[in-house]
Amino acid sequence: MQNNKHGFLKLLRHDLQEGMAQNLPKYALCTLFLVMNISMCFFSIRGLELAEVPTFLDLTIYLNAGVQIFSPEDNAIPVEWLFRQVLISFLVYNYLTRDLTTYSLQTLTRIKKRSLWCASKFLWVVCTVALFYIIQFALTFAAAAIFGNPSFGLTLPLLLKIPGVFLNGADFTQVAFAAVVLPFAISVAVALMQVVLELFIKPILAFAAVAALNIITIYYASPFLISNGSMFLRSSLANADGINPAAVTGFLCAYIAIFTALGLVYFRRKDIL
Amino acid sequence: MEVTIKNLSKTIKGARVIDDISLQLTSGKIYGLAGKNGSGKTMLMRAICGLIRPTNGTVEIGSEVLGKDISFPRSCGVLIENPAFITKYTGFKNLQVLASLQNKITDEEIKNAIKSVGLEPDDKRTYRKYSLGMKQRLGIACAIMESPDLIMLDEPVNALDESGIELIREILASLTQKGKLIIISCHDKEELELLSDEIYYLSDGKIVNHVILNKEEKLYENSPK
Repeated sequence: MQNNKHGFLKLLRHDLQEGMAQNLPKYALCTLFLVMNISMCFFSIRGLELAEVPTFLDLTIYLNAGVQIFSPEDNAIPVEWLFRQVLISFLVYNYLTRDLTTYSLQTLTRIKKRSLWCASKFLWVVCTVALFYIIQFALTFAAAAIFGNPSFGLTLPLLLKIPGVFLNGADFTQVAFAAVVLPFAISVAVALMQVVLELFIKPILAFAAVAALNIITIYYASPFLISNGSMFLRSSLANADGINPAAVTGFLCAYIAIFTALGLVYFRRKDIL
Repeated sequence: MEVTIKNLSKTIKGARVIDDISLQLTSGKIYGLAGKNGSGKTMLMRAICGLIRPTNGTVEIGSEVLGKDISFPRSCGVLIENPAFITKYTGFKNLQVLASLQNKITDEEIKNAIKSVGLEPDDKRTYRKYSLGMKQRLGIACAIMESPDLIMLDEPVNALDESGIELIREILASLTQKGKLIIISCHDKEELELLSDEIYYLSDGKIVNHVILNKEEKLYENSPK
């Protein structure tokens, strides 16, 4: 038991080091996109006449606002949101499959348990997504600092400039959860789904499946399509017809539980060729 | 250590890659697997080390059934197809990372394993800069470094020069004396006969011949199964 724990921690450390090292060019691309995205927001906000200086949370919501629930008249496409989802998919793309066809032969026969190997890869997914959000939050915080208000509070003037937003009596905790925690957790669930799909189908098909799911999400507002929860404008906190973050949270917990269990169970019987 | 394979079959995408194989392998011997490409040698090795699950039949390592009591043999070293290591690490660093998963051996023992295959443990070159032969030697060092009871080497003399092949012969002989159970495959019939105590010939996933080699008197042949 002690040996298993030791082996698992060593494997996890290896996955984090190697996985992150292999992803450095991808993170550079993500950072470039986020810098451009946040800079564009920064300059558009500077053009607004605001009664209060925006905070980190204001900027995060502004950045992750997405678009209202789809209507044929409006037909707005959340290009930046979509690009962010693609980048996260790109970060987790093919790591598990590549490891499985190369290095895993040595690690699996040493760690002795398929479930531990799989768990290590799943934790790598969580950390990979987390690093993306850390970069995003750090850059957003830097933008708030440049504005002169590097705090985590919530002020209304900027949010009320987003078309369609009315804060439906929501308190700070609810808004912070919907704007900061929920998008991260949703990204983890979707990335986990992609990685588990890679056990069944080719990585490129898993990537395409997740991209298709994100595109469908633009047109259908349902808590079942959990990525709706990462667009603040689709939240019931910002829109009377929006989706309740609690419902999205329920579905995302179900996604994480189902795909983790599916991955672990399937991998126990998977042939490693 | 004893490996008992009972009526083992494996079907992948409709193709029978292992077809009703039964074997009993005991420690202190080298078993050779021979056959054309696609005859099932590597698949049989993968089944014995737990990487593929049988469609029918069982693989028992000692008294434990693979896939039921254990997922992988408790003590095994494997080199199957091309060795895969982290290209930016040195040979020593690669083996150190892998050895840390089991935490059974010291750095000194890792260095000894590297020396035993004719490589220099303090070589600062990264794996990326290794020649094919050096990569193969490192793969063998990796398979034997923890002194496992069961060792499986798929084409161990691939890419090796004459001195490398001679070294592998010596290593295998010494491991056999220590009571290890070794399974090797090799496309070079003469080399396989030189290395092995017994050879199983495979064709279309079946064992079609079994030869017991007497190393002093050379070989005599059993009738096909």
